[in-house]
Amino acid sequence: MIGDITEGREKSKILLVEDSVSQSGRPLLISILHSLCKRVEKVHYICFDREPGFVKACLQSECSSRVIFHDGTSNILGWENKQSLNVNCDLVKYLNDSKGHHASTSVAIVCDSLSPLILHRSAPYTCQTVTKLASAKIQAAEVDQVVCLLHKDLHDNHSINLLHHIATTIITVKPPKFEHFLMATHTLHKRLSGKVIKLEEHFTLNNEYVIQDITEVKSIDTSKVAMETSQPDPTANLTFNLTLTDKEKEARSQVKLPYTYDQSRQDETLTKSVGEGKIFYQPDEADDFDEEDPDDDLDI
Amino acid sequence: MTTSFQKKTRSKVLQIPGAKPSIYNNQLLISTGIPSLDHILGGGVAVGTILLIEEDTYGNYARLMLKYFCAEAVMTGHSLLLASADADPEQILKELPAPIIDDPGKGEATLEEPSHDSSSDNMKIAWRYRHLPKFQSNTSGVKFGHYYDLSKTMESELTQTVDISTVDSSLCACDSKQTDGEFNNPGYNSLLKTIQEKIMANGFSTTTQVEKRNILRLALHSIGSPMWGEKGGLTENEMYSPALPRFLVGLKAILRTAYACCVITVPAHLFCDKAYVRRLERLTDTVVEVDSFVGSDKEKNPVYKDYHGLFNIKQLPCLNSLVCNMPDSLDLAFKLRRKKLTIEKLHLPPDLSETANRSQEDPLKNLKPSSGCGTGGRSNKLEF
Repeated sequence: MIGDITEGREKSKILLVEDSVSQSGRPLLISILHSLCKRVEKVHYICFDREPGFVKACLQSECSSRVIFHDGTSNILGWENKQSLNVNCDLVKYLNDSKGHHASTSVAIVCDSLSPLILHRSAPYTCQTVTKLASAKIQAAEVDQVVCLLHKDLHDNHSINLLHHIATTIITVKPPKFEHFLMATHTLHKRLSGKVIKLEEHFTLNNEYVIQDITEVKSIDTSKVAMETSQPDPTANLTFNLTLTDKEKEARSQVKLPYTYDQSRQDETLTKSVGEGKIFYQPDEADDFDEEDPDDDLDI
Repeated sequence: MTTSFQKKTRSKVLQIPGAKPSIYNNQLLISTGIPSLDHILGGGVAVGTILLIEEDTYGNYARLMLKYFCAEAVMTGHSLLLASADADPEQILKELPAPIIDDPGKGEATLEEPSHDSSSDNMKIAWRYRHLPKFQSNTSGVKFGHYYDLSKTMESELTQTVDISTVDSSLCACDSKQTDGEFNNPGYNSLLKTIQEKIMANGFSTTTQVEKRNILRLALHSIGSPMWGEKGGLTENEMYSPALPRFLVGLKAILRTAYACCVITVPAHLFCDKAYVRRLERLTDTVVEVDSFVGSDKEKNPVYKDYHGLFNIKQLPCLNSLVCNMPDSLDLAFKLRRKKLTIEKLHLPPDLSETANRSQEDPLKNLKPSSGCGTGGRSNKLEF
């Protein structure tokens, strides 16, 4: 699944990679960046966290020509120069005005990371920016995918929930449980059809940042196990026979039991409407009742 | 001698296509586009009121219900104002489901009949129940509201026959730094203004006299989502944000004097606090909650295998009366078929397993060792 998402086989407009201090998500982000370079013509890489050189050093040579880096780290709050990239910029406008003019059909945008944007502006503003980027046209090119990194241990739950609401895929990076894997991920993917897929996976990255050895970790569904084990077969270890063969069952169904009505009697009862019971009373002589002397019949 | 006595006559109810008077309180009702939902709400949504839909976590079913509401506007010829910041409203209009002209209820009934007969033959012991009608909570055969086929989209020619205006995210392009004043959200302000202008310009107000009355349907998608600049109902300094309650008060005031009806979907799971959601609920008339099983543990639970989610009624309006219309049951669930979204009573399948826990039985009873004359534990003094 993680392979399908990073390679673009599973369409996802807004991909959110969440990491924390215990496990960095940047290796996965660089892996996604490499696969983006194969799919789209230009990738805009917005740096708010580390300077562009840090990521450039990790890039394969054939990819580096396709990635346009935008440095937002040197002047992050816009104190020195209003024109260079800072958190107060309108990102769509900035990318459209940026110098690296290109005539391409599809672009992708990678934002490393959203955390300064959330901290210095607000979570709703970040959500609006990300969705605007996803539906915008950058220099007349369609945006194929927006990939964002988020340090989730820096923010409160409300902000994280808001970003989860707008993202179509959320990959949470965790330290692996087994040593021979590089990292573990929890993926939540919302398909366009409305289906939601949740997965836990472990994998490693090779030197070219290609994902390898994907192993799915299946969580044990406790409710299901309980359902299955709660059905012991009472007829299993008996000294006598409790089961019936088909022939015996048929013979049993032929037996007429005292409470079963035959067809005609059933129909007769059903055609009579409910609540119309009748009392037939035929007074006999012993019932002759004298109003004057109610105790007439007493033999005292 | 003349008397001042006047015979009470029933006030004449307006005849507007696509609307009918309620049999309970004579309010003018319109259909939500989902006949089974109309039935539960007492016939439909009253004109001049707000129906609040609390969205499911991923918002798919709530959006679908809003689409039904919009499609119904097209079919009845009502005017429509569709606002959405999360999705492109033009795109939503393109994806409206196609109407089914013949009633799908009939087709289904004929399909069900043979199986019904064969099952009655098998009834050996409970044969007295054979002629009882099979249970069905949703009424069919009412000519109010339409059915739609989800696999097809409505033709654009049909959509263009009615007056539709849209409000998109450009209206609410706002930032907390640029809000004017502490209390109001510029997105909500301009949305309210648009609604007010629409009502005034097209004569939907109760005070204006028009030759042919029509009804305005307002469909507001995902109000209160981050795209409206809302941070889970909180302001910058972690106080309850008064913007959304204020918007609802304003909207209600506008609707009460207009031939208009509003359906709002709200991502209630994004709000910080249940109390805040309750506050929003109190400011609207009808409140329903869509709780879909998608992505939750209930999806795999065999108990719910026939349904796609639970449908909770949180509030019903008391219009011109002291009590609200009460549906038969509040345990409701919905299921989505290709041609029908039905909301019906939640029936749990019979628990056939031998170890089924009955609520009236003590589940621990089986654990006690039992002898011939009483329990071994001597829990009861009367036992020997």
